[in-house]
Amino acid sequence: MSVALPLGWSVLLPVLLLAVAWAAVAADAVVAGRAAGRPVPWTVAAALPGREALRLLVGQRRRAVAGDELLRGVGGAVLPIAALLAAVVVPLGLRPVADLGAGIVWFNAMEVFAWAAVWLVGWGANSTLSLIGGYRFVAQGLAWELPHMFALITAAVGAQSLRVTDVVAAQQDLWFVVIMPVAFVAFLLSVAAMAFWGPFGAPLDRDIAGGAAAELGGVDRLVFMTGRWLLLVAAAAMAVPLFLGGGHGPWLPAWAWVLVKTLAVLAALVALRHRIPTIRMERWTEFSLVVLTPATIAQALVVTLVGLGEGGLS
Amino acid sequence: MTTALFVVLAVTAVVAGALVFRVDSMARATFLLLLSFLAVAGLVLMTGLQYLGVVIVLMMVIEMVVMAVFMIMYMMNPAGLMPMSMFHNTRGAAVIAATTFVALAGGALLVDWPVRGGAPAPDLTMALGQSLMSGQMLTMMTLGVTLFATIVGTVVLAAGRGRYDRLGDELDAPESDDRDRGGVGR
Amino acid sequence: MDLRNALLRVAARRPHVLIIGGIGTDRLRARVEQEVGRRHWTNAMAPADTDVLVVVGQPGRELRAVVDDVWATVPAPRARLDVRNEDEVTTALDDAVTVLQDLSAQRAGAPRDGLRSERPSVLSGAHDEHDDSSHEQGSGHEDHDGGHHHGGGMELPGGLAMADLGDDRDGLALDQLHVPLGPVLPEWPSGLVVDVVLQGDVIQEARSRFVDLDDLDATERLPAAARALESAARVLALAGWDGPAARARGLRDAVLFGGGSSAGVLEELDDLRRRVRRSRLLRWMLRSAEGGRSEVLGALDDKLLSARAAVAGGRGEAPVAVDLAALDARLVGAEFAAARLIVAVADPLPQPALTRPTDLGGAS
Repeated sequence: MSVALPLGWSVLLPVLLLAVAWAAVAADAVVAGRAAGRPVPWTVAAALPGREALRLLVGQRRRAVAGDELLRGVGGAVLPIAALLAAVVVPLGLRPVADLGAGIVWFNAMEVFAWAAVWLVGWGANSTLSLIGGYRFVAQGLAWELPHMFALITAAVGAQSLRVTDVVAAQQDLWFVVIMPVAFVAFLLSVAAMAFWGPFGAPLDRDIAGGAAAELGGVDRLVFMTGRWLLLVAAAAMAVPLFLGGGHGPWLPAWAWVLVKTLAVLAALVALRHRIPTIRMERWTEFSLVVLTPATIAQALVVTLVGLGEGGLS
Repeated sequence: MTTALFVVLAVTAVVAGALVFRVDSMARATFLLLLSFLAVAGLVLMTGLQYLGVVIVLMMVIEMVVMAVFMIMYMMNPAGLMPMSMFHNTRGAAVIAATTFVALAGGALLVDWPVRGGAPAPDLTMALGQSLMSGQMLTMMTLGVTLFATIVGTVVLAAGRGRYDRLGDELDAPESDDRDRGGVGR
Repeated sequence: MDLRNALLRVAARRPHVLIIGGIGTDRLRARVEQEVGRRHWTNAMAPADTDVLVVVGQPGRELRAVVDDVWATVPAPRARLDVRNEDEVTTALDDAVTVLQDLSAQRAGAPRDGLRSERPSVLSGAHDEHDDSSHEQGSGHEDHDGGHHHGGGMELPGGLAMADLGDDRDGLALDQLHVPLGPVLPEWPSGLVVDVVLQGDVIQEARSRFVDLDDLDATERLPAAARALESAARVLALAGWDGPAARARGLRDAVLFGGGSSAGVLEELDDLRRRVRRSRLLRWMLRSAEGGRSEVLGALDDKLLSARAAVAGGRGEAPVAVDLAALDARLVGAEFAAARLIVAVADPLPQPALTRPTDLGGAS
């Protein structure tokens, strides 16, 4: 009972993701300018992603002395590909590009490719600061993976299916965010963490001079940074089918609702980013394992018990 | 088409697995092993076991990246491309490898393959879950608890400083004397 | 018009700028930063991300060598400027855009495909690969104990000593790496270099020094308020709180170059202090082990307070001089991110590494 979109959409999907990422970068620049007390005009911000991309496109590529160029290249290429593959299970409207039976697990599997990608880029550059960035992200990933996984599983339990379209269908009357708020919050935070972005951007932070990306120049840097934004957009878009009712909603068509909700999630993340400092992993890891993981397990348990009480497994 | 895919995946799995022992960088060896595992995951996916295949991908990526962290602990120079041997205990390894190969290949060739009876379940993931949670429950529980106990035991044995060192014999110190405290401040 | 020319023209309009200055160039550096911010240009984090390299003041011999190394790793299109005094800043940055847009000049001056110079890049701590004589191919030794120990200090073609073995804080024998930090790092005191021994991202040994100390007589110091604000801005930026960091920088510029009434500056300073004090997340992130009070956060608040006193017309406390030896002692055992904060908060004054009374005061 696959309800996947026609194959042509797989070509359109990257374009859609890039467009949303473009908007997110521009919004980020505007909010950053306001937070810094030096407002950036809308016109400048709207052109910013294109100009930065162009700047990197005409820029020279860089090769590290005695670096592992092969691994670095693989890492850089894997990041955007993983983001795109993660996005294929997100319904654009009510139908995804690929309606996989284990779609939720697929999404998570593609996300963790980012760990390998960032580590490879950090390692391959043969620079200490890059390496620190690379393994900061591994620590971050490990700290986040359990809460993230439990948040995903809670949504799957609520719908009693790992298929993303089933999860959307189960939310026709009631959005999951209402019955599983803890899982939603954990998911929202871990989305930013998995994309090593914003308050969770320690792997690329200023204190290590750009971290994993410190040695990237030209088109390598463009691919890596684009991959990061695509990952953020894909993950933010995934919050919509899992917790925010997917394409369900009055008046507007399903695709419009998905777009509006995705943009709202991104807007919330961008606003959050400029309100808080970077979250350091040596502080967060313990919190994640001691507080967040039990909280998400308890959330999954509650949803399970409610599911059983309402008639058990079908 | 299916055959071609199978051949590609099978060859990738074997060749990448063999290359693990030919390259001279720990990072490359680690990620070649990952490539080999991913090809195996592809083969599992080809059998229709979608859930298991995807879970193999998920787990193997995480495992290999964690392995890479241990690698840094013992070899901090990034991008270490200087040749180094990946062999330890070559003679013993050769014997074990040969024995295992002969046993497995012999088994595959000599044992009569069973004929399929019945049809696959309509939803293999569901069938897998029901099998794990009913007939195989005892196996899985034993396995799970054993693995977990192993992990905890290893950490307890390996840790130089446990909670009694940090919080006192009665665990009643208001806070630990760690230099860097964790996020919960214990 | 040639397409490539057109692309270059658009790309060069908002370049990323890396500013390098030796000791005593803080005022000029602040002026360049102000101008870069006013144009909505971006501060580069590393040479790889740099379009315009601005060298402020007259770097001494050692720093000049570092600058040359950094320049060799900046990818084209690129422009290098020397800014000697404040009047030059605007025209120099205008010129940089012209240089960036000049296709033929860029072609002529492009580095060889980003290849680095033979000298190690002091900035990024890049170093050469791991030699491992005990792991010879096919040596087939049976009792391999996982040790690849070899005497440190051996120089490789890249120039840096390779990793060697040492005990970590849990008593495991793990690899150590000898890396110089600075003098070119984001949010780093001008001219400071800390030679560290790293294990993972934990600092095991540290020795700090200033480059080109002979030129110390040329040093002009920032006024106390501006210095405190600059240090506070660095701490906030390292904590990843870009908005307040930029505001602190704006206040520094107002103190240094005028612009904005004294009352306005005071009001915004109070506002910034309130935000810093109120942020629970910042407190959580900056909390340290010793004592209940966060040392970094306390010092940050002290800095903002002393800046306020100085702006308000009081004498303002003189900045607490942090001894380099005391800084080294604080760095040992710190995780990398914490170490960066410790350096930013200590903000050591250029001084020869002679012994002084070890008085940390509230500054670390």
